[in-house]
Amino acid sequence: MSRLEDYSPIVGADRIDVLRALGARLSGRIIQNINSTAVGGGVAEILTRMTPLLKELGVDARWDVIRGNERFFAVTKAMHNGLHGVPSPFTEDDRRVFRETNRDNLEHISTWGDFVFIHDPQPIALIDEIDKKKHRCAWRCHIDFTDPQPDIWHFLKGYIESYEAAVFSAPAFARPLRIRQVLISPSIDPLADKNKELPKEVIDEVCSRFGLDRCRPIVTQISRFDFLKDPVGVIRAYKMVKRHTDCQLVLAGGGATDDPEGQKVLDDVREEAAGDPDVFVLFLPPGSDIEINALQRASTVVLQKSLKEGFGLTVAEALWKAKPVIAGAVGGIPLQITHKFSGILTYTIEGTAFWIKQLLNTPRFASRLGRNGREHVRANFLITRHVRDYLLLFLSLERPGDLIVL
Amino acid sequence: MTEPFVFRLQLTQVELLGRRAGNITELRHHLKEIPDTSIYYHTHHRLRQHVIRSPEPPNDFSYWITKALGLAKMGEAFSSLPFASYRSIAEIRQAFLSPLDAFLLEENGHRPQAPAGMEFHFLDGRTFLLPTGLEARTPEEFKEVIGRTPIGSIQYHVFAPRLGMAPPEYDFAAWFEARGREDIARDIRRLDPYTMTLETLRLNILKKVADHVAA
Repeated sequence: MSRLEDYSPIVGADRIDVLRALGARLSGRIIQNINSTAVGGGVAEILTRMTPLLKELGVDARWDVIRGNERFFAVTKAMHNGLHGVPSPFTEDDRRVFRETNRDNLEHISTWGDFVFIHDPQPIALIDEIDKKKHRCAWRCHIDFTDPQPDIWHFLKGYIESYEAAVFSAPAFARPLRIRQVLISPSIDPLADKNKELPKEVIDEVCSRFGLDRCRPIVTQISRFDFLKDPVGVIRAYKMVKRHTDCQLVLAGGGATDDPEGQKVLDDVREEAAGDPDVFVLFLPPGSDIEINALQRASTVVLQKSLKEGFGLTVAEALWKAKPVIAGAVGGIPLQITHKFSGILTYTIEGTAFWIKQLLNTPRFASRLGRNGREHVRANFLITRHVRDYLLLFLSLERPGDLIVL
Repeated sequence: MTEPFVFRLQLTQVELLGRRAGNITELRHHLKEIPDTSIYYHTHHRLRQHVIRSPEPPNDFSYWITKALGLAKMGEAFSSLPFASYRSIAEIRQAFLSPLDAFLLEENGHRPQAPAGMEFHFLDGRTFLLPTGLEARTPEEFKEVIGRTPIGSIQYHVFAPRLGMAPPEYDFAAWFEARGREDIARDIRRLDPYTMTLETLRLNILKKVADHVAA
């Protein structure tokens, strides 16, 4: 696991010094993260990398994962879809299952931290059981809240306002709430297997293993097989491109343990891709970070054609590798991409196809987008900035006021 | 002998106010009500990005008016305000409101609406101050320290005190003045910090001090 000093050459020693100074002011405090999955998806990934860094700073960072049965995760998936604006029934029985599962999880949580940091809706109802005089509680929302389904929103709002603060990933997710709302973008870890520099031989080996031809352009989308990532739309865009411009398409990703729809989406994708030898649908098992890294680095263009997106960390991953990225202008993606400066933002399948062709045919422009994107990520979306923002959040829970002198 | 100048580093926690504007009427409404810290945030946070994305409109309002509403003339008016001459957020707030009022008084004027997804979201900034461990007791020491203090420190000491967002004694020029060095204070105050990157600003302050120290 990486140590703080390993990040100095990437972000500068002064930023690491700031982290140490902030950590010293929270030394020994217990920060307890709670979410619903230990593997798969951006939340688990960030917590995996961030927890050791917080510990190195002297903070007692912990991470608990709630348990639930299939019924619970079907309910939370429906909530997830509804919060993303996809109409989803949310019945009284769904609410009961949700509340009961949260309550049942109390058996698995023996102590509460000085700070309790609950991630996403799944464990949100735990707040009802926490003594808020003894523990400072914040809720971290990782999903797109631009247009939530009203009944689900009102159900959650009651819980959210029981916290001291809510944390969102993008300005557009802010809602009228009676509590503080803090903006914290997620991040990537430049030293993680998924993002670290790779020798050419490793990239070649991975491409060879999957049957990719490195002499021809490769267009890639890395993401979970989820309707909201629009993998079928990606294949349709690729087919439009292929009429005039040769390329291969890679759709690669895994599944999260809290996503019961993944198999259905994967089936749809395979059906759409059927018969085309240049479409590579790769369902990757957990721990395929080197493969993902290699596929991104081997790509000519990277896509993230999301219809809804919490933040879209795969965009930051590709930008960090200085790749030209074409992505849907949703959720936190516009924070990462300024159109035609650090990437391309699109709204339709046709627009995506148009820009794939443009970038494949104008490599110098594509290369400039990638370089600008990398510097934007360095300044704003690396894990060191994220650690700093979390430390500031916890300090602000302890110390009110617009000006906090540390 | 006055107190040493203590270099502090500003860190900003960004908060969401849950307010949004889709047109000039809504922008004006919120601009009248949002806290000073929000106006300070929207007019100053891009100064850090300015380092790598120059030239960049110096405030969020002008950028949004230009890009989302397509009002290039008003956007330019917002970006070209004489920020260096303002001494309070109240002055900046009024400087923004005046052209908006005039715009809304125009009969049959064009009233653009931001496209969906391009509304203006009002943010706020909570300031944390960390000691840098750097101090200066003389102009000579100041000249040496200003060259190596973190860039966030320069930003804080130059912009926040002059707008009443930090104690006046945190201002570089005020410190020189208190030491009887009005000559250095005057030269620092003459700089327009809004028209250069923070690194250029650092070099300019260093040069102003060096000119007098050398002399």
